[in-house]
Amino acid sequence: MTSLLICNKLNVQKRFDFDAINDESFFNRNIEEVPKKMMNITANFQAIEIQLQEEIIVEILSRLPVRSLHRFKCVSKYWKALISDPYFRMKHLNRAKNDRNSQKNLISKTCFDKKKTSDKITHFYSSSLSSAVQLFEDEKEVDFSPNWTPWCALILSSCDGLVLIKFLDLRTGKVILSLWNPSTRESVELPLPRLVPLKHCICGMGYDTTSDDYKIVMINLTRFAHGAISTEVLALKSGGSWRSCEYPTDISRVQGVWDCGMDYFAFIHGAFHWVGCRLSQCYIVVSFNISNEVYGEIPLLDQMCLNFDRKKLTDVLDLGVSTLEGMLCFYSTYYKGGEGSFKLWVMRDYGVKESWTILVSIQDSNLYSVRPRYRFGDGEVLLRCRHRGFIKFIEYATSRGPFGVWPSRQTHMQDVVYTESLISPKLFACV
Amino acid sequence: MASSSKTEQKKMLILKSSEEEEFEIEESIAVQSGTIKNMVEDDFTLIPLPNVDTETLIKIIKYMKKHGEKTKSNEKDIEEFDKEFVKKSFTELKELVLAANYLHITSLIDLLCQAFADRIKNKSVKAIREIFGIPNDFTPEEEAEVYEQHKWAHEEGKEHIDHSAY
Repeated sequence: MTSLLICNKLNVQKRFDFDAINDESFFNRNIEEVPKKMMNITANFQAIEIQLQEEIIVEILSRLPVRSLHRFKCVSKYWKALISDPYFRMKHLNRAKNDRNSQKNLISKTCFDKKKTSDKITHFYSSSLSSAVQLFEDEKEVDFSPNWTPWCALILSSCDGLVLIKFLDLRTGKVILSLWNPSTRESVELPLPRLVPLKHCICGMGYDTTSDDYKIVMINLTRFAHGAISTEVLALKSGGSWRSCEYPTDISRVQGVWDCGMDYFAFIHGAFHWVGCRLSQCYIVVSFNISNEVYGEIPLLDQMCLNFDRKKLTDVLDLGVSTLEGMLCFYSTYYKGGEGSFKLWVMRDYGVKESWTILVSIQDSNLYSVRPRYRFGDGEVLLRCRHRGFIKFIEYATSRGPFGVWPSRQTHMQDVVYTESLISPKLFACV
Repeated sequence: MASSSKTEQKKMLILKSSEEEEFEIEESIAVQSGTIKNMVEDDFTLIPLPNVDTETLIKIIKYMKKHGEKTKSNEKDIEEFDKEFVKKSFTELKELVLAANYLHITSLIDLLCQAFADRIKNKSVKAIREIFGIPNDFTPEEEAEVYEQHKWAHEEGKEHIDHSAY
């Protein structure tokens, strides 16, 4: 709230019946000592239109959900201008980022048991994250775009209400990389990186405060990729094309896990994070600073670096990093001596090795991969799970247990948490 | 121990409304208002508030008194108070938020703006105009254009739109 002293321009005059005041505090004051002016008592009330100043209206509007704001653009030209103002959009976003009611889950569903290619179109659904129950009861389909027919869409990343999606457009046969805001339904096409096919890449999108720009990073790290690892960066406002960056030569891909252990990079403290393998050593968290594009490392505790070991019968099935409530977290699903386990650690002090603390620990021999998605207000962590034998089948669970039933085994699904925001993809220069 | 032990007498201030009604209030409670705090630092004890009428001032004093008693144990109690406090007509809320803004009581401004937002979010466009006293300066064609741009926002969930201006 900005600190401005504003004078009420309208003198609100109200004359009212003295006897109508029956408020305790009024009569509790020391009546003898404080002089009281006799009031004119008038029977008629004057109802004067009270106008609120702009800064109060902005304060109220910044707390409204995006849908209401879109409707209220019709109120007047002044309100339309206020709501469309870039400064207002940022103010709204900053509030939404900290508001649990503005966090939503975006799910993409593509059914593979359809016979016709044209039926394998991806549909998107949004649901509330206010509680585990709401996640399922609230699911609403969100129309992607009238311009495209997304086939087998992949959700690549999300940031500040913008979601990055890659798909094949059935009408033109082109691979499209699209930046979409599910709350405003606006979308734009972005240029493709040289690193194709995109299914070999893990992606991350973040806001760089230094250059006041959004940057997208793609690195060919997935289980499909082989050969040299390379990084490409796209700055959305400045520069319309992808730049290549070198990747540290002594860090290699994590082998044998699904998609290098994560769906998208963890963006925290101005850097992207993922898990890498130091040759001849164990896993480390690799970081890439969004402003100066410098790589860094964050160490893991020894007990977090379980390696595949025939003798000790340890089999790492899945591992990766994510963010939860502003903290970096590391998770792994592994199979040890016949027992399946999932462990989630959070780094309470960023960069401090000793601050890795276990948050969730689950024993379940059927687990294949478990990834944390979100932490609810009551502390429960939302987990997205795949089970042995039904790898394509996703189930949601919290540390208390599973809930949520997915429609069909033949549905390919992806999910990402996003914030409802007014940030428009159309503002970016490279489109 | 030093002999000059101060028996802290609670310092009182007098707040004077626009109708020249005066109210006594402890300074420690009144300084929740940034405006009053500034005036106290300039050594005022009688604080004239020409922009706040008596009725509104009474409500604000009530709020400050309640929030002045805030401790770790009565959080729920204060939450209940806040919930009841905002159950007022839009006119009253407007007067309150104007006064709270003038008086610089941050927590009250937040409470009131949130109450406004919660109550108006499902209102129809016409109801909003009535509540805020805003004339429609769009031509029918212009308004139709703005409506079309975000048609889905108007159409989806249409059944939940509230048309009352209260």
